[in-house]
Amino acid sequence: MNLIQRLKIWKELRRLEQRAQEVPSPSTFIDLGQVYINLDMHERALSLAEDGLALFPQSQELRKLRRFAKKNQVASAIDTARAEVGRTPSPEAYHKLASLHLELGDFEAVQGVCEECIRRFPNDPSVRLLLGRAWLTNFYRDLRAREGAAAVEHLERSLETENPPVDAHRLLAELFWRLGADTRSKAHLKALENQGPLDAELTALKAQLQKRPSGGEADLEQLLHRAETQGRLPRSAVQVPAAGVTPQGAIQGGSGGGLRDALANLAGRDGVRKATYIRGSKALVKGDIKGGRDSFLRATRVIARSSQRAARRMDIGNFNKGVVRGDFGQICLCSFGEALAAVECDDRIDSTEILSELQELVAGSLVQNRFEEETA
Amino acid sequence: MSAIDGILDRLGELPGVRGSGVATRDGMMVASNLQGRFREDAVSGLTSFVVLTTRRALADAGEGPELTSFELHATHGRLLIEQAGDAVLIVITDQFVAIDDLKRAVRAAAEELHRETMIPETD
Repeated sequence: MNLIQRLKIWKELRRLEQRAQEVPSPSTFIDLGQVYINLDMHERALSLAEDGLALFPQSQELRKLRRFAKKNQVASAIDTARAEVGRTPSPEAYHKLASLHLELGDFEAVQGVCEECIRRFPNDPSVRLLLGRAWLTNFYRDLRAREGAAAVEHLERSLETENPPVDAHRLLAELFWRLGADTRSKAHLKALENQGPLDAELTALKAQLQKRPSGGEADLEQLLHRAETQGRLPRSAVQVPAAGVTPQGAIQGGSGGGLRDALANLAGRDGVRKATYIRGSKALVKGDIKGGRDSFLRATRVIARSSQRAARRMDIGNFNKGVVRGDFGQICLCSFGEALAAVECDDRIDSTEILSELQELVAGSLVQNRFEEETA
Repeated sequence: MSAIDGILDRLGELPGVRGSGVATRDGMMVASNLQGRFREDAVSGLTSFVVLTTRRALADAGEGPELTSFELHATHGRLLIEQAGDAVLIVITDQFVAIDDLKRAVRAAAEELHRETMIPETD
């Protein structure tokens, strides 16, 4: 690009920046973001997309811009981290590179980087912990025994190093509890207790474990295969009684309290079996739901997504509410933007009433969310 | 006029109804009264898509995969899908329709449709 071309682009950039300030709209933000991306200014593009979404939270184009800018930003950070690994290889440099690949969801690259680091620095626990955590995420998602075994192997090997990471004990204690390997879970909990006082989540786990009789459990391989065959883990994540929310994928923060109460009210109604509120990748659950990874959550997401697609293609606008009836009873859903609330209940319950409560819950959460964003 | 056309015509006369049709589970339209507002293949294909993805999602969640009805509310209209034996009855309405009255009418129409389309068993 010669100087004149560059000057023209900068002039255009200034014009678009001024336009975005004077006449803010999704399209002015997108036009400006496109120029930032063409100039490899990914940080600016990302921050512009964030600003745009604060003003127009429902804009799909701005979300795409944010995703694209984020991807480019991480890709450029990967290049820098890779160069750093080539220049001065260290466990920290490898850890940074692997974490960036993980952020992009490139699991094969994570594995490659971690294995190279392990070969060079066999005594460093950080990359083994990261790899173990990545395998564990995959195992919780797909329940493949092989992935669970790999997670256990890497987490246990990280504990054999000179500075064993405390997080590995925590992850293993929780995994073994969920698989039903109580003796193993207790051993890791004991190790955690020796390091200091337990937090609320681990205290709840300890209380659960104390209720279980010791011994007589199947070996780990069998337990992993059983989970794979049955397509579910025998136990859900331990719930912290005061919060009433699963530790993984839980919604925390200011708006959680009101939401939790509203959801608890819904779940407490006679005939309601499951209730959930989902925003993005986080979920709040009540009733007969096995934690943040319960398949009911996935089912509601799929139903809402396919309904949205059908509504748009049929030209009847955006999907906002739905009722699915079958031999299981009925599932009522309400969706606005990225917020979705759903309830599974008996078919004798008035769905109109449930839908209006779900609508209030979702609308309330969005208002609260916007208020928090504005006052932040 | 066939019995199915008669059922669809009666549904079309209800207040708020903008179109109706009968499709097979795999998305082939058998009969329709879409009043020129919607494309037949789009309505049957999208209905089949919603029903199949919902059924699969419910089966994955360990729920019974049989759906009896699906009610979809959107900003500018509603879509009601009612199982009628091996076929599905599809009704598209505007957003102001009195949903409870319509649901009763659609259910009755689906039952009638099921009776009309049922092949009698032979000895």
